[in-house]
Amino acid sequence: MTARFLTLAIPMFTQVVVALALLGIPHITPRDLLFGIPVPEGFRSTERGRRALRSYRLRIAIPAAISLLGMALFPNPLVDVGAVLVTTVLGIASFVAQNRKLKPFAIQPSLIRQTTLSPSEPLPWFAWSGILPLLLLAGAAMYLHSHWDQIPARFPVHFSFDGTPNRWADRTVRGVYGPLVMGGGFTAWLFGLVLAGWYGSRRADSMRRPIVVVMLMVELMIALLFGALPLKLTGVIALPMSVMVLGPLALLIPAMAYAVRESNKPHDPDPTPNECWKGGMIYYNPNDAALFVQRRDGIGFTVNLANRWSWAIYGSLLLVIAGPFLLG
Amino acid sequence: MAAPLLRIDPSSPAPLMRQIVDQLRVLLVEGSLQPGMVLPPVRRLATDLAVHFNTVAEAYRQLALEGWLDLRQGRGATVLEREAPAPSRREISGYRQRLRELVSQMRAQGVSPARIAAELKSIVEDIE
Repeated sequence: MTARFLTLAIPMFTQVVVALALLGIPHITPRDLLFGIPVPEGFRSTERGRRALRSYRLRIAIPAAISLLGMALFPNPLVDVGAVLVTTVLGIASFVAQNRKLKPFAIQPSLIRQTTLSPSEPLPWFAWSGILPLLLLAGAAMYLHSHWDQIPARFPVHFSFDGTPNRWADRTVRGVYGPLVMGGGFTAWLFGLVLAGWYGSRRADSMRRPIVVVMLMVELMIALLFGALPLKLTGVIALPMSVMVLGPLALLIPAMAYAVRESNKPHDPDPTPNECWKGGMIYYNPNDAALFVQRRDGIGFTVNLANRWSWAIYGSLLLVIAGPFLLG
Repeated sequence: MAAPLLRIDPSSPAPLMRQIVDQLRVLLVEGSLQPGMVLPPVRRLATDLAVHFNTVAEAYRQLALEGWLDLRQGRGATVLEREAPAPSRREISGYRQRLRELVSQMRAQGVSPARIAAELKSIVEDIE
């Protein structure tokens, strides 16, 4: 009964979270932007602004509700994945549609740029805490190494919803340290992203520091998850799965709250020309040396796809994701 | 002392490279940028000003040619001690022509000759 309930509840919960995240985009975006379009002050309260928001909400809420109904009536993994994918694609399409409709109302934020002639500043002290997650993973590996004899010859690595193990691994270097290596890849990639975020964004960007903090928290979260996983699975430590997953996730909340608060403070607009934005989501400007610019579809940074380093970022991410599969 | 500011305006008719060169030269002549000071690396300045790397690199090269900056690979741009060269008659003539054009433009806008003279005097004294 519990397994059946979880089989239904987890995908439906995911679907609700995805729909809510999409619905929340216009509300976490700075007030001077709407669907990626810089708009005059107070535009959101005008009839045109309200209509755009209403239309966007309906285009997400209706398909999401139908998908939820479908998931409840036809419990099937394919239906679950399809429903989440359809909601995401429709959400993005709806955002782009509103972006196009609002283009006639766009104002061009000032393109005047100003900077100090001081030399490059060093990384802030807290950025070095990005090394801590890598040390945590190394510590987990050392702990496993020192307790090697306590690890069973075969141990479960995957469970069904009722908690019954359905996949096993052997006590081999790959079986035991595999998750740590994978986590190390992600963590190192995220630390690289922290450095790139600091050096590849404008010094005057008010979101530079908050975004670096959020990325560091994500890095720590990944390291804690991947570090605790082999310790738990091999039985070296006893830790409830809920604590293992929700604990690291909780780290993100204060960091996100800090980023949202900073984003809502008055700030100078990023000097990006409107014509370099595609759909309000993609920035492509070969005449801008910045690798990271303030995004227009939410808070945080997006990459300048005209900067060749942006492709290095995506390429290395692909390598980190595909690496474990390529290595078998 | 606060680091000097650089400001560019893409809507100005002057090319961005020219705006950077002109403003840096003003700061160098005024002494806001002292010999030995290190300017931001090309990538840093280009990122902050939202311009292409080549725009800043070209501006630095231009000032290095004029003897203001020392550009060395990996060390950024360092401000040099510079002896002002004696201008040639042709250069003086060129400046005179540019001043004439500027003064005419000011006169056309209704600025009085006395005001123009006062402004020029004030600028020269500030730079001194």
